[in-house]
Amino acid sequence: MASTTNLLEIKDLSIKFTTESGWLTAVDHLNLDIKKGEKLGLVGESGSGKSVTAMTIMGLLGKRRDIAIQGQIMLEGEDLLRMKQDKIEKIRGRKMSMIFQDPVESLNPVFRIGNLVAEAFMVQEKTDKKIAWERAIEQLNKVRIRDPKATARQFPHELSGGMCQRVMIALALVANPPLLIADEPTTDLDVTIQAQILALLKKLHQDLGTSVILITHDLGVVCQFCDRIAVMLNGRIVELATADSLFTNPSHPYTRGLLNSIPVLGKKGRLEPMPSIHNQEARGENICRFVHRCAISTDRCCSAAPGLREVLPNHYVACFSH
Amino acid sequence: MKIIKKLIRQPLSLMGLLIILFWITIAVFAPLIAPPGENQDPYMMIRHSYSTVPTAPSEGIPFGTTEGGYDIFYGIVWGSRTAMIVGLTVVTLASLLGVLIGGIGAYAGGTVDYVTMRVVDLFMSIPFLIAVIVMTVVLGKGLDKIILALVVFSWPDYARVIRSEVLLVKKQEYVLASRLMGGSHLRVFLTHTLPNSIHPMIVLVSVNFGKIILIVAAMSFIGIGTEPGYADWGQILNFARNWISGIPGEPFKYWYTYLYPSLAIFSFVLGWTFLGDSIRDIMDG
Repeated sequence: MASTTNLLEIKDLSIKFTTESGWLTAVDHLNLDIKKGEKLGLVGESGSGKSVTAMTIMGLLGKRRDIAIQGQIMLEGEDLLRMKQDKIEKIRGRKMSMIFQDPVESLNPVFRIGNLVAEAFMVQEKTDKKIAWERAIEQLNKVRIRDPKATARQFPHELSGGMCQRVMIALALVANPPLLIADEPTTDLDVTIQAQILALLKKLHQDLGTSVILITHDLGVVCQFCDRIAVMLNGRIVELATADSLFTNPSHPYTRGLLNSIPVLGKKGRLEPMPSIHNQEARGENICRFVHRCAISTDRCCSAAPGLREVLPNHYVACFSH
Repeated sequence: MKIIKKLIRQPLSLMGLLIILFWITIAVFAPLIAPPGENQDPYMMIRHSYSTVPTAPSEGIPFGTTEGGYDIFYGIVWGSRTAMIVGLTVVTLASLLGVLIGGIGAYAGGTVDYVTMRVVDLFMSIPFLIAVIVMTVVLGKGLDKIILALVVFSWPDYARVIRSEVLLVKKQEYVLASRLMGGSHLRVFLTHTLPNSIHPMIVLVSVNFGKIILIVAAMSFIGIGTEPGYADWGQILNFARNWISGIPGEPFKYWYTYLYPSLAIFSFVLGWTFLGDSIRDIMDG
């Protein structure tokens, strides 16, 4: 399904924030490609930089004095970081879209669902109100909302979280953007609804050929959904592999730790939690991101940062032990 | 619609609503209740004589005449129109101005917000009543001048309230979502931010409506409001100033000169205050 041309290329992206104790590197020399029609999972714990990366792609961090962004983000050959604000505005929704964690909060409570979706059509395609309303109902039907006509007349608070997320997806896909960023789209939902939403995203991905970046900390979700998975830790990618390869051959000690801490039905014995040392985060030029929590770390890990190396075909790991 | 239902159910707000409805009816049907003479500006009070002494209520002059032979009943009926016009225009213009300035400042944030808020501070550091009085004195008499002065010095209130609301709403995810779907700043501000931050305005507007009327009456009372003879409750009170103490032995001889206009102002302001308070209670949950 995924073709070989790159839709989005992130080259050497670094994002730094000013804090009271100086610059904090949220994303550190990140390189990542997303191919056309690919479903990429971006996995990592809180503070690993996955959401910041998404925000930067969407152009939401902008030019501010307390944020320093370096590198390139190429979307279909154009550098998003060097684009003018009004041009980014035009690209948003048309070439890239985003859905969030909390669908109920993401819908304006004073509008009916139909008006919200119709508004998107009016913005993106400059259609008039009546046509936009009809297209809105079509669009709601596309995301498998039962009785879209009745739903279009309801307000967001009358819908369940799963329904709201469907509406959000409908909104995001109004202009058929080639790239959809889903920032923890299922975290707030029940497991059954979660499965439905993922199935819906998968179906829409098949029909429309949209590339999806799925940001989550739920390995089960990415395993079901993604072609390729990037594991992030403290602003760097520590392992990048196809979904199969990652789950059969987890090579970075962090990935292994993550997989070991998932309870498996029927498995006996204690879970192995990963050590977490938050006050001693490894951020810096010459240090492995995982060094303080790693069972197999050596002196070398403290004096140099391992780069990504291909250990298996299409399976990259940033660890000296390979 | 739910709000109206709740308003009707509470005795205080129902009373407020009824009082306001009563005055609206009077204002609307003023030409029928107190028909103006031919070729006469209906907003100027009918004069029955040029006598300086008030005359007691009698046939055809139900509330009597005040100093200068002005018909009190006529003045009260047409004064309700004046009150409505002043209240509505001041409150509408001031809240529009406040919402625009405060809202844009808060939405844009940073320097824009800083500058607008300092302007608001500047306006708020001037005592309201004195500023309005000085401005009307400088501009001269007339309803439009009072309205202008009141608008100029009452918008900062609205700007502050809307600012705090917009600051809250602009951080909501649906605002972000709308930006991400390609909405321009103007669209996001007008359709997604403002409608969600406008509700405290309703409370402020209804409470301020009464206050504005009080200030206009006070200004007319001290003689810097409308032109002499203009149908305005404060003005009628102004005419009654010399007669409030009555004559020796009969302190309430000229009761009609001040009782009727006072009742009008009192009930009008009370109505709006009741309504405003009830709306606030309902909005607060």
